[in-house]
Amino acid sequence: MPLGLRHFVCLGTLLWFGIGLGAACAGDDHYHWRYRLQHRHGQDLHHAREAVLNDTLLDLQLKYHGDTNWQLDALARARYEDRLEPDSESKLELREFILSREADDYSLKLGRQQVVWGKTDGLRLLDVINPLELREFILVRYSDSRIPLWMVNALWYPGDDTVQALVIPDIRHHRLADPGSRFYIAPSVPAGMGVSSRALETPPTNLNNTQYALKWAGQRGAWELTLNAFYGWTQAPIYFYHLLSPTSLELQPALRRQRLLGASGDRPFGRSVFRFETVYTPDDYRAVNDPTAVGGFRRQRRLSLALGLDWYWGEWLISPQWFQQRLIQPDPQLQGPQSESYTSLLIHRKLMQDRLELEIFYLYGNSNGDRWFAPSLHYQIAGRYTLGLKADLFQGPANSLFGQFDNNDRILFSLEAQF
Amino acid sequence: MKSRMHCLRSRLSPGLVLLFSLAPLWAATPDADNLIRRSDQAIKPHTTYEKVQMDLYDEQGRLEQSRTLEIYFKQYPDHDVTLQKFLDPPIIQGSGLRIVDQHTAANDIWMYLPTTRRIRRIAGAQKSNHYMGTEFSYEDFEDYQPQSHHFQSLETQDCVRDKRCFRVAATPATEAERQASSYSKKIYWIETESLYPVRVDYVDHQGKTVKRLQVAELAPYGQYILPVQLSMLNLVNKRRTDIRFLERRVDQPLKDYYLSKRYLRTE
Repeated sequence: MPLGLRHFVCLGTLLWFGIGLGAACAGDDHYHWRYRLQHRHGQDLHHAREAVLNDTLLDLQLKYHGDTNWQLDALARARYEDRLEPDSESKLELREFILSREADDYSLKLGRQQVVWGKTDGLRLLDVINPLELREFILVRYSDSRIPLWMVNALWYPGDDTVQALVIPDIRHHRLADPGSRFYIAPSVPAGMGVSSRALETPPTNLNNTQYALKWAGQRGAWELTLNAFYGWTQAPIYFYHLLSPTSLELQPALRRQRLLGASGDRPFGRSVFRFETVYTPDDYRAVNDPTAVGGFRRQRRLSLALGLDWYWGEWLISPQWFQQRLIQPDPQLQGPQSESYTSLLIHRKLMQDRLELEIFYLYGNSNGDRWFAPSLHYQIAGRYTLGLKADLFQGPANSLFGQFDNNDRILFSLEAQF
Repeated sequence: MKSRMHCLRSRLSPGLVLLFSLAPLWAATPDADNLIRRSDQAIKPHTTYEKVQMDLYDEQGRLEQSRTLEIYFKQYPDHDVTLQKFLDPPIIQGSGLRIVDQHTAANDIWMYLPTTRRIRRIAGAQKSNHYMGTEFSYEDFEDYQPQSHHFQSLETQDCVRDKRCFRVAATPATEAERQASSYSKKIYWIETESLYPVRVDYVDHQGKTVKRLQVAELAPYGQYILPVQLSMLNLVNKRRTDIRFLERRVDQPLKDYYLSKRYLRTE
């Protein structure tokens, strides 16, 4: 039995102990327990005998509502993962821990949590509060791949509007795949250079480094609108570099302050719902071919836009989206494109009294011709179990977002049980 | 979307009750608009809370899934709000719908799914689609929608439990309703005493009766007579969805919180 698996068994036992505790409290209406056990097995489509993922997770969710207006929501997760990266991994984490109070005109949520902004599927523009677990790229549903943060989440409800303020002392970044992993994304460095890397510089937790966010949401006529602002840190490390010699350089990954302003909205039109999101940031760090640029990067102003339509054809949901991000000021020394755009198509249908769920998601890079195609099938049994079958197929040039994983096509089998 | 499941609210004085109980004797075909208005007033409380068991049967009559959900309903001056939250089974727990009926052909609908942790807006004009895998469609939960329907009285007939029923045919009166609805006609069987529509026949655009809603039992709840169990039978695919009311509170104070998107988002 590999060490990682032994760890998982231990951690799982700890959680099952929690489940036992849950059962003991089952008669108490103040406690509500939920459990979720999920196993995913991935197989390489190019090398049919090669398993590329064995992922087992056990979630224990507790909701405690006492006699006061306060409520506690906690989610603990034990996870064992093999084959995704060169080393298997097992861990137990307190994924969410939220102490919340609901009053007539305000809510207060304190603790480790996810905050979801935005209205798009597949790619994120406004959904910027929580960084992501990206060791499986963006192939995992976001509710599982968001990394929850410790924060104060205050919501005020003047009339029918909502004002949300976030104070986030917890600074985390995307967790990227390790070198040698299937979904490792190598930093862009000049060809033929020897590369060494220092450890990631993360800002210390203090008042100066705290992240803040503000959102207004309201309905005006048929439009449901939000205005968003975020003063945080870049979530993907920026790989600044300096030359050690003419043939070698050293990378210094670091996070930088980032400001974002955004808006989103949706509106029904007949059998369709139109959605949009837009984001402006003056803090997009881009690699440039300029020896005077600090660390090889220059800060750029970027505008992003996403438009989407949810259209029903009978019971079929057909949802095309279009994304574009563009640097506001052209920079001739820029490595990479000034603008990029993507088009996606989601087709979704439930059958057999909602027991069978069909979904096709297709994302196409208009600039590079790269694509990700993800058909899936899920079948529910007895309201507790879900069998899943999903493929992730990539195509495109090696230097494009999806094309770099052209050889990583996979098929996933999953089993999920909820109690 | 005002639920006919809710109730009959008796606003009638004893004298009027007597008058209406005699109604079948003197008015075999009462004025349809007037009857619909009276029935509509009678079955719409200001607020309701209901805990409901929803049983989904397949075409062989086998129980495929039992669900439990809670339904909050409140009338506001210019619109009504219904919020539904699924409590069980675990696979659907925490999912919910919020429906705002502004008495137009298309309601405003929002859906929350725990797997996405996002509220998604749904086009109200797709109200002919199946509701959460049941034999109900979204439009089956609407009230009479008098603004967008013509009503015509048919002959009074015997219906359930030795009762008599007024029968009223409702047809879309607006182009928007004709476009959005999958029915060309609905025939309401309105019990003469309770004024509750104890049976509804749904006729598609080809003139074929495709579904039938039947109230299996009415019972008194406080000052109201309300359905205890009802059943929607799909006459085409032979599937059935039963709804049983496990708990109900009517016209009790109901905080706006339970009708809000923030409550929809709670799991």
